[in-house]
Amino acid sequence: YLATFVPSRRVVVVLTFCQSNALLIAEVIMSKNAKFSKEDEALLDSYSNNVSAKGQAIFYLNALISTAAPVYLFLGINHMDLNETWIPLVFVSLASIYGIAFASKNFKYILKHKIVMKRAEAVTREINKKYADKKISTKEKEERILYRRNEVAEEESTYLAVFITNALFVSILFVLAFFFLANLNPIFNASVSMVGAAGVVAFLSTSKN
Amino acid sequence: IRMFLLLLLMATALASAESDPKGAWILASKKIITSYAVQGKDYVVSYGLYNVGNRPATKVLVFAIRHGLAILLPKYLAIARMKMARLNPGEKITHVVILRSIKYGNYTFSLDAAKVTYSPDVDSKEVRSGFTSTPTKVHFHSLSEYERRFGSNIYYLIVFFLIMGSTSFGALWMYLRSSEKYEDEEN
Repeated sequence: YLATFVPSRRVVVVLTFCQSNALLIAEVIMSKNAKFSKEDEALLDSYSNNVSAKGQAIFYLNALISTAAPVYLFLGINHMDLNETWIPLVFVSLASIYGIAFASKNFKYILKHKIVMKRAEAVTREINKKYADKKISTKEKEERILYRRNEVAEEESTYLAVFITNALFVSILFVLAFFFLANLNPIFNASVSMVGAAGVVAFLSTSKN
Repeated sequence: IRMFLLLLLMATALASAESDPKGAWILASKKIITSYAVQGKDYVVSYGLYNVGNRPATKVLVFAIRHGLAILLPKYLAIARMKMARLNPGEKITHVVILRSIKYGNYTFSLDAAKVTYSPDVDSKEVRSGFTSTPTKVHFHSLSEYERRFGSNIYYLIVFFLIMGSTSFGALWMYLRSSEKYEDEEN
């Protein structure tokens, strides 16, 4: 999507969304003093790259666990002395945590777009069923549908992003550590494998599909 | 002069020729059984005594002498010495000592022969002594290097896959649970 900021207005946002042969253009133009409506906020939020606080916590916690496990593995298999190798391992771990969290965020963004479209009908039906007996305006119902769709997509994309990131990271780590770098010095093997795997996963996450 | 020199040579040879030793005569050897020496692991040394004489050897005593910096310590003390009351002619005995190296590196065995003392006959007061043969230099590999190459890593791998599996498949299960709910809604 494209976003352009015009100084004379609060914000001019042009959203373009492409899905197979369909082209949906949503244009929101705000006057200088107007604020976003809840519907507009929900719409913006569903296409933004922002991660909620819960999502951030999940990504960083997952990155921490995904980094600690290989460190334990390398220390155990190679009988490395932690007193001698803790300094490089700390730097490697920090780089790996950042790479994995970055990759998770990107994967979540890619997946969220797809899940939002996928869950549109089901969420609409869910909200309609929930508020069938209650009297609420069509606009409010649409807002709730948008919110709920965004919520579901946020949740599902977060979980799926964690799974994909971990699977890719472990596969690349094993190929690097036990095939390409198997004969190297253990600390060098551990460092290059972990940073390399995190780097490759982060790189793969920057693809558009 | 030539004849005189020849006679002189023969007389010298005969004079210096030793007669066959009388009584027991023990041949002693020291053999290393362990083919791959590792720091902190059992290192098996076998002493062999063979009586090639014509009388029984008595009060046979074998004890290991260590020279220089000793990195090999006996795993079980008091087995580095062996006493035997009698070794008949033609008999052979082996004695196994289990040692354990506390350090890694090269170890020179040539200074580490065992001394053998014995009496050549039953009532003899003579004491004969000798040394065993020795292997030359042995390299003791460090324990960490040995564990790295030959140790079992299965437990570390199991723990690793438990940790990664729980986070990854836990997240996948959460996604599938939500996905199933909304796919049921669609249907």
